[in-house]
Amino acid sequence: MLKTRLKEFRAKHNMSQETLARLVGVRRETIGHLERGNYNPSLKLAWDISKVFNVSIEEIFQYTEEE
Amino acid sequence: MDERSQKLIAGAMAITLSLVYLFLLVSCIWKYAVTGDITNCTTELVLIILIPAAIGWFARKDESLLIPRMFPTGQELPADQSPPAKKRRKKYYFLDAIGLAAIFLIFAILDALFIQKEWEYFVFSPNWSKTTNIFFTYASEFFLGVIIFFAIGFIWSEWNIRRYHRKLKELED
Repeated sequence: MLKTRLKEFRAKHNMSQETLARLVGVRRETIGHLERGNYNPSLKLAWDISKVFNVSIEEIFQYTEEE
Repeated sequence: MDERSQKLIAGAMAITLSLVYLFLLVSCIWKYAVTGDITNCTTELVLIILIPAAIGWFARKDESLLIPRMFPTGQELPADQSPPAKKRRKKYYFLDAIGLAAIFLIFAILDALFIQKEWEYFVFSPNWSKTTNIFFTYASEFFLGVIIFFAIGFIWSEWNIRRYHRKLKELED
């Protein structure tokens, strides 16, 4: 299962979903679904998002084995 | 099936579906042109309506499908509620309505010329010539078409835009 701290990072940077979506070239609803854990990002999208916040991918997205 | 296989199969299915759709359109027009009876195209017409409806149903979780698009480019219209965006959308609903009414008018004229081989018209005034009555029949059909298509486009698209914003709000919460 992929857990995300995207909302937390976005809040820390005072960034709207719309702005983040524009910066990484996706739709606003895709960011919403990522934050809710409804959608797993591609490696490129995860990379682009981590670049926006200047952190590693693992700091934003953590994969945990489902029991 | 892994991600790569899924992408390749999805691409192949999209191309196949496009070809099937094109075949249905050509087959329907051909059958109608040859027989002059629209009931011969029932299967094609049902599939022409069902295919996009089925795609829409299975992809209904994709909110972007709610945003109205320009015909025929498929480019999205601005979905925000600012006055310039609303004005731009209305302009495109109007242009779409004109385009659709024109397509119907062309089909009606081609039908009268080559299939029915007679003009069906409303007698607006017995004092007018047959040509004038035919002209006003088709002109009124065109203008009525513009009004109806504009009303349908406006109501349907604006309702979808409201649904889109509601979904975005849910995702923001």
